[in-house]
Amino acid sequence: MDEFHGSIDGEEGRIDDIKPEWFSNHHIPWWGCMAKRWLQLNGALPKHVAFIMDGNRRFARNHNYETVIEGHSQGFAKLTQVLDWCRELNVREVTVYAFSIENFKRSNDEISSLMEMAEKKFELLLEERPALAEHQIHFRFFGNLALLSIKLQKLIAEIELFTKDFDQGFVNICLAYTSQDEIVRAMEYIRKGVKLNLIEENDVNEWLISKCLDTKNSMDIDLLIRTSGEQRISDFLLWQCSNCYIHFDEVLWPDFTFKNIFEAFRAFQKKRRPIQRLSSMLEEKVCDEKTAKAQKFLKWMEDDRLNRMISLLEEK
Amino acid sequence: MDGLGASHCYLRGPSDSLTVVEHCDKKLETSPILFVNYIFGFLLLLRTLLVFQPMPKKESPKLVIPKHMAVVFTDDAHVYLSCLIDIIAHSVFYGIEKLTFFDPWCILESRKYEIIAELRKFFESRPNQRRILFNEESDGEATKALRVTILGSNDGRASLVRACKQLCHSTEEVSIASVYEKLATEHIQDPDFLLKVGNLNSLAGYPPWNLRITELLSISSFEVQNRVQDYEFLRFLQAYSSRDRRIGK
Repeated sequence: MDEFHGSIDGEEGRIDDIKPEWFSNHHIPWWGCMAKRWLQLNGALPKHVAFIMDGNRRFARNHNYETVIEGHSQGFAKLTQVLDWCRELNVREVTVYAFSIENFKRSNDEISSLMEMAEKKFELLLEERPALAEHQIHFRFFGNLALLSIKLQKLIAEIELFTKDFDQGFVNICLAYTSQDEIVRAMEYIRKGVKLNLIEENDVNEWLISKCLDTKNSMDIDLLIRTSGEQRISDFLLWQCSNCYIHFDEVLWPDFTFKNIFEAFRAFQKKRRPIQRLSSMLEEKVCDEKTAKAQKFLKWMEDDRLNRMISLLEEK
Repeated sequence: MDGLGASHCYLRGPSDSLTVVEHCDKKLETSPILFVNYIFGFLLLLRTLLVFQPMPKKESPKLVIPKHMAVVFTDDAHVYLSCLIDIIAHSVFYGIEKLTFFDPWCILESRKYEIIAELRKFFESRPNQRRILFNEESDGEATKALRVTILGSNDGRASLVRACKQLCHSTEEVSIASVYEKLATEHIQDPDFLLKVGNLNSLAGYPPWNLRITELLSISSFEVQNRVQDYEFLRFLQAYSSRDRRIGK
């Protein structure tokens, strides 16, 4: 497999040089090792990074592509590269905002092209099972997946089940996702739990709600990066990012380079301690007794979710 | 004629702009070279006037006033009562309908009655201004009052916990609308625009549910530490006005 190298002038990550497979081993540029060492000397690196990958359509327009879907295709290629960079930088978990429930308002052509692209990419991911097993990457999908086609839901279920025991790295893809929908689904599970007498009103606290969200098994998010210059959260991980470091970058997602990620990580490091102090102050104190009591309810909820995935795969 | 012995004559250019040409009272020399210089100078001036295009007026974007603006302090060193008063006064002027202030240390919450007293003093001398109401107060009639809410760390994720505790007994499925309804009873609503003051690039625990499509603007501090100037506030509104609020499209 060809290695990719870039230059210090920010030309690394040129979009034409990126292979579109999931595991193409896009290495960091030649100066990246020094940059990584420098970051490590200056404090802890973020362990969980979330990305709002904004700017694909503007990228397509700027490059006079025939359709915006070509911009999304470049965006996917950039995603695979950024995942490799994150692995090199010892980022253990990455969450990406791939498709919002609000995006269903776009044209039918764009939506169907995006869904087709997603199907192809997930089929490709399943073809790369050896690489998945080698890297031990657990893929998870967050969102109201019932809004997606059955074919996509089955592909997603297959990927999640195949990788569910891998624990060296985590990639969370948010599809048909909004944070408010995620919170409502969590609260609905809690309401059902109360109805089934698995939990009571007094058991409801921040910890329990966190354990009912799609991100229930995720680490806390350290850093949220949004590209394209927009300065809003757009209904993405609102609960989880209520006190993380938020970094806005003007660059369009397909133009995102190693220099951009380096700058984001450096900015995060500078503010890590005051944010940690604030988090400690804001953190709810939950006693062990409450967490032990909720375990039965949480197991019921997880079994329910797994059974739904398995039933879906068994459907013809 | 001015005291220096020079006189002025006015030329109207092609765009009706006024150009002042100052010339000496000195008699025109009859030397041919000087005469040529004068002709050359006149031709240059004529050329300038003929090719002169007035600079196109740069249209400033139309000012869009957010209905609800939030101000979040991420550094306790910037939490000044005078800043609050200034922001409230500017919001009254620009027609903002709702203001929310938040700091994670609950400094503002603990000084709420002091803030109300200061506001009353400030607006006593301005009887024609719009009314300002804090959440507990009702306006009685349908006036366009500015409603002010002060929130603290107990209104962040904890507000969703309180909503969930109420909704968990419902016979109906939890919905986005039902969560909004519960939060609204605590005067927690979506701000259109959030101004974050301080060097910390974090939302510091602001009620997360309500930041779905809020436009965020960060400043490290106000230009004058304990005051918010009117031109500065206008700049915030201009920054908000320039945003493209696509909402998924």
